[in-house]
Amino acid sequence: VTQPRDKACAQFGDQLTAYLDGELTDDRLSAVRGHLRECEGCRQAAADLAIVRDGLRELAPVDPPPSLWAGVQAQLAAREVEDAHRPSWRRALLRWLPVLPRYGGIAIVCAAAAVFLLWRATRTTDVVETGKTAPAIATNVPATDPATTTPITPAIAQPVCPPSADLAVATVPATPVTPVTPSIDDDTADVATAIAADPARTTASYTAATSELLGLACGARGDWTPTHRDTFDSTVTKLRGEIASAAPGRAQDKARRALVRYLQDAVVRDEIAAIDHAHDSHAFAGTRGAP
Amino acid sequence: VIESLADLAPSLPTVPATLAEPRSRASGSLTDDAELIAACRRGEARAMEMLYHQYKRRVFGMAHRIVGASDAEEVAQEVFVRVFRALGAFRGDSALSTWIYRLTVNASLSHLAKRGRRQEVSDDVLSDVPAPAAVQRDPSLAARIEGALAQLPPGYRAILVLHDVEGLSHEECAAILECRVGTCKSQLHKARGKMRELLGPIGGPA
Repeated sequence: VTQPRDKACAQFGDQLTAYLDGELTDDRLSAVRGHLRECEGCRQAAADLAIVRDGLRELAPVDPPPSLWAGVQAQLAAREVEDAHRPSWRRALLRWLPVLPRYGGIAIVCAAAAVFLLWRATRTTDVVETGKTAPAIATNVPATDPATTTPITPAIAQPVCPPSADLAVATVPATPVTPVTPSIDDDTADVATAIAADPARTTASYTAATSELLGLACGARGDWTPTHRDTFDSTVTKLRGEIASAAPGRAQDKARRALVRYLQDAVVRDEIAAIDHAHDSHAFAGTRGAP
Repeated sequence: VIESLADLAPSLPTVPATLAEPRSRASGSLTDDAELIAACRRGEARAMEMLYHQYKRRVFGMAHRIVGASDAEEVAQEVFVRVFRALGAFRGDSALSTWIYRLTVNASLSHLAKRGRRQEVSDDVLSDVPAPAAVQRDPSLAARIEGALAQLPPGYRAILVLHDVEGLSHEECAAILECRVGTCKSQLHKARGKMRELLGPIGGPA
């Protein structure tokens, strides 16, 4: 069976380069030669390709100009001077660039892990900060909230919660909210003013936080045992006394912070106990509301 | 290897002979290369000059034929600067020559890419190429081949320069171009075919 000429030409034509370069096995070599004997077109193509190949091989070598070596040396010197002026972190980056493709996969995984951990850490910090200082309140707080400042000086021994304290007390900070000092975000406030306003803002933050937490604690107070109520009242009174007796400034802020923390603990423990109680009222019946 | 079919069958048409033996311009041994590299890394001027002289013709020749005469010196200079500055990163996975030629081809191709579509040889130069002679070897063939080579796509130009002009083996070409040997062979076949098209009728069998 003989192949059509076109099909044979296509088949053997693809092998002409390998044939000319002596890369065909004997059986294929013989077949290509056989086709070339029969096909003038392919014979001409092979002759042309041989001339192309030989012509390329016989191209005269090109000598580089004498200036090339001088140019290389000058470039090397210039690059070394550049290296000397380059910041160390860029030198380190350039040193690692060639191996990055090899360790690229590992580097990407490490970078992704680092970003994830950073994100987790930031998120955790945000949650903790929110719980600690209640920033939503801290930014707009009255400077003289009666829930904290008023009881401190004139009547330390006042009842911590009014007798009619109920859940409505928890929303006590319904007093008009007015900013104490110019905000740092205010474009018109200069840096010095903002720094000078910081202590007042800190005090106002503690005042607002104490007010809100005290409201929450007083709301839950009705469910506590008499012993726990007494403990709570005496501790709050003691902490208020410490605030009153502390020197204005850092010491007083520290005392205010202690009161806020105590109130946070009291409220949080109470809420946790309530959740636990809902799950297993028998197991925690006696511990609920411990401040 | 068959030298001439005419001896076997004089009545049949002569067909082009296959290559008698593969042409190879093999590079120096690994030990020599290792010593030279170590000396260059120590900054020994003599070793650097030796390495330069060992590879200058090939590097410049490749660059000359891939990017053209006007930019060849710039590319060759950049190649040698890269070679000397990156010798520390040379891991010896391939021969030093393969590594240097790979740098040369890559630098040449990226230079062409930066240069865009501007061709080294313009149409005017091509039109000056004399018409092919009807018989035997065209005396101006070398000039025509240089002209046609400059008209090829850069990839084809690279494989022809490496394999046919510089006489490297398919394995070396594949290592330099970072492709398979089979790909290298097929690209060579296509490149020669394209050269033949560009050159037009070349002549009868020699």
